[in-house]
Amino acid sequence: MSELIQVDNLVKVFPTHSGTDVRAVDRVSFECRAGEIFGLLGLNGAGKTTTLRMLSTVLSPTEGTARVAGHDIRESAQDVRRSIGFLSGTTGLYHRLTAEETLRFFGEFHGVRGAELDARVDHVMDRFGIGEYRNQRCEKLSTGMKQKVNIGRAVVHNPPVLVLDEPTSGLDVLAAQATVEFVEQCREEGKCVLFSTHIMSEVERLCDRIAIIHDGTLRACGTLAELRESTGEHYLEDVFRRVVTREAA
Amino acid sequence: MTGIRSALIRKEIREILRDRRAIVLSFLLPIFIYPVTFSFTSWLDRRDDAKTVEQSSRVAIHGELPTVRDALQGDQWIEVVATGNAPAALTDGRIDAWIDASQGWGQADSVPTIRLVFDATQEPGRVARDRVEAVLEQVREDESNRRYRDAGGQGALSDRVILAVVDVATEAETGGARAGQLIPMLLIMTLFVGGGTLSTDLVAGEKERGTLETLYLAPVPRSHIAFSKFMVVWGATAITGSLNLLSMLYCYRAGLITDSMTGNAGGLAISGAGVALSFVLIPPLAALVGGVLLGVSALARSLREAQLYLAPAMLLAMIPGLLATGQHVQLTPFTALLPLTNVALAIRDGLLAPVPAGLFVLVCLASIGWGLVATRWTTGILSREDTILGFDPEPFFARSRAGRRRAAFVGMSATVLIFFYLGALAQARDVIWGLVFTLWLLLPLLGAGTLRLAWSGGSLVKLLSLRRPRPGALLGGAFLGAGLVVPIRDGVYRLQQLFLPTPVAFGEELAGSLDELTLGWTILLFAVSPGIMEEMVFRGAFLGLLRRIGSTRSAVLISSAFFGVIHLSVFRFLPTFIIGLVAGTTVVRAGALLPAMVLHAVYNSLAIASDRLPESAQPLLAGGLAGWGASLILLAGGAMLIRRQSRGDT
Repeated sequence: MSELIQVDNLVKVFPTHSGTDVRAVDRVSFECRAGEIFGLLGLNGAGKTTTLRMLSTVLSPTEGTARVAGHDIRESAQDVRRSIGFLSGTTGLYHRLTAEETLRFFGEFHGVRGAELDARVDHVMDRFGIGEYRNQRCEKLSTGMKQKVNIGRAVVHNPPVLVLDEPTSGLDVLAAQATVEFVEQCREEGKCVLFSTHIMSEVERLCDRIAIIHDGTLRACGTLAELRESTGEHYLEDVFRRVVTREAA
Repeated sequence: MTGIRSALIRKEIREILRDRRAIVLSFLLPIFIYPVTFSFTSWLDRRDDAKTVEQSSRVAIHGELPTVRDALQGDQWIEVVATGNAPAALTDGRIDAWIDASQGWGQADSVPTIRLVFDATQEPGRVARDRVEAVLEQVREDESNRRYRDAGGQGALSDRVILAVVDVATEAETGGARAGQLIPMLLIMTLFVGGGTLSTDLVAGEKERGTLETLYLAPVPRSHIAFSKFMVVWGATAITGSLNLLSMLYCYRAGLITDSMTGNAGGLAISGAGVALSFVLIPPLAALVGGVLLGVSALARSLREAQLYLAPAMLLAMIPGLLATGQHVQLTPFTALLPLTNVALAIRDGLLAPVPAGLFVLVCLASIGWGLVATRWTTGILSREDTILGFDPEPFFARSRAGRRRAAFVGMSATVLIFFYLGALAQARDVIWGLVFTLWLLLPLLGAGTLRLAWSGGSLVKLLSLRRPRPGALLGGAFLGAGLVVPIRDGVYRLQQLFLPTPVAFGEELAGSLDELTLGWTILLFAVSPGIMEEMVFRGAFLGLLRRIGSTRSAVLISSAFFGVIHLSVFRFLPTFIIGLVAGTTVVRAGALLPAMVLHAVYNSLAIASDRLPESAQPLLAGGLAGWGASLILLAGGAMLIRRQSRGDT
């Protein structure tokens, strides 16, 4: 399997008002392959979202770099964005645009036009079952339906890499289930999925490999079996707690 | 229930008190902005009124009537002017009013008339009317009494002489003048309100809803996003401005604006050209307003914050509108460059009379230029990570490169402003002691303050270039200082006269004070002191700080610009800027500050000497071929010595 994401010693430092710099991400390195779901596990504020934002080029790294689908995030930001579908709890939708307008707008932004755009929009509509609501403004949609439109927005240009930052956060059981199924389908299609969450059950179900990030540093990385073996714990919650507390101590 | 309400109120108040931005922008700023704004405009009013009142009114007389002439000449504030064509002179502004005393004075059976003709759209005209009317009223009364007595006391007393006051301003001019007092300010405010609503939604609203981050995930340059937003805000602001103007003009035309505002209940005529000019000026004005609004909105993390920021921005933007409500600020090549003020003044003047084409073009170009500056600023803000994601911005004076740059510019700007006001105040009280205070106390304190703010550590000696120079560099500095005197005095100053003539009075006051000092004291105060202290601050602290945050070339340019500005006069800017460039380059090349101090001190000493000594005593400083030749040799020699020093260092 080819590596679609290669992260090499990424560092992100935020200056603060107190004058002390905060290293939100500190020399993080990992790689993800095509057809793989790579889980990024960590507490709130561990550095997951900052890492993903650097990979999507919304933030620039203080040190280190990464390659996404062969493009360097420092040197080819636009190529990276073309190759990536990014979804997080903070990526919102335009309330006054309809579901179809949203998909068309972001499809065009990613260089998809004409008949190809029509086909992609129809495909996404069918896949997520939002055809019925295509002419409804996003502000009128339910939370679950909004999330579907948002996922559709992220994949309308058919990117080889998906970066999903807590995509089920705030969703009801059915909407969360639909999102998890979508992620599994992406793996089957050979996409590389970087999946960040703090919901252990989703990680256990979805992720081929897991990285545990804490206080900005990568504390452990491997398959679930490897992590169980290295910590001597069975349940992922225990594995996670062991990794975090061991390193902290 | 009372307890719950009270708890809720306490909670709300606690939240507000912990929101420093809200306190500053909503409570503190309004307290200060009005006193400051109105003090400034009142000061301009008083200054203008004082000027107008102190000046004599120039009045021409048509028709020979000795009593009128004698009465006018008896008033100290009226100057009777001889002119062949009084109406033309009034139009040209050569006189403020004229009197026609030619009708009916020769015939016994007709009622003689005195006509006072003035232009009510001009402040001097109105002042002249008040002054002359008072005098003429006395003449009319005296003449009426005399004629009544001559007639043996028969007939009515009041109809013997008629005094008619005639305003030459056309209906359109009067209407334009009145509309021009209010429309610029209203227009600026409506542009801010209309464009502000849109810009807050387009940036702060998008940030709040998370769509800005979504947008930034698309493979589109951020500058394109900022530009497209700017174009939308510009267009919408221009449309809202045009509709507001249209509506305002309709209200004037239809007489819907009340008496108290216009003094006219029946509707005002406004010239078509004035209206057209106002509409043409809206797009450039909207470009600037749109850019500013977008930038201010981009700084905010939420809609609420954007509204907090826009309120004071709008209050500040009222100042140019207020300036246009009177006639104390004129549209000149200088004011045509000032943002907002230029369009406000152009609209005010344009509604009254045609604006000179050159000034009009300058106003348009300046406004578009400011709009581009604002857009560039906005693009910069919209590219910042903190503004994209709406998290706490980097501390303003952070230890990052950008933070140090901000600290350096704030420190240098504060130095210039404080030096400008306190220095001018101190030197206005006493030139000599004021200079001692500003150079030896104020300037070093301000320089040290800037260093404290922007210095990020390391060797202070290195930053200030306090290394000991080689003798060759010192000699080079002296040569450069001596070589600059003639080119600056006979070249730069003379060239500057072509586009910025220096007033005759400029420098006379200073020269008068210098006469009290001996040459030695003068050189110590005006040459050695600036040579040490100004170089320590500008070529030491400022240049050193700027070299750490940018290229050496830009550091020399910027420190020289600040050096030029601090000389408290637009007439001195260019020469001192050039001296700053040479001194800055000297420090860079020599790697030491001392040669620049020598350069500065030698230049000032010789410049003083060239003013004080007779030409025979200073053949090489007197200019001419010998002076220029000697200067060029000195400059070349100085440059070589400095360059040689530089090579020696490497």
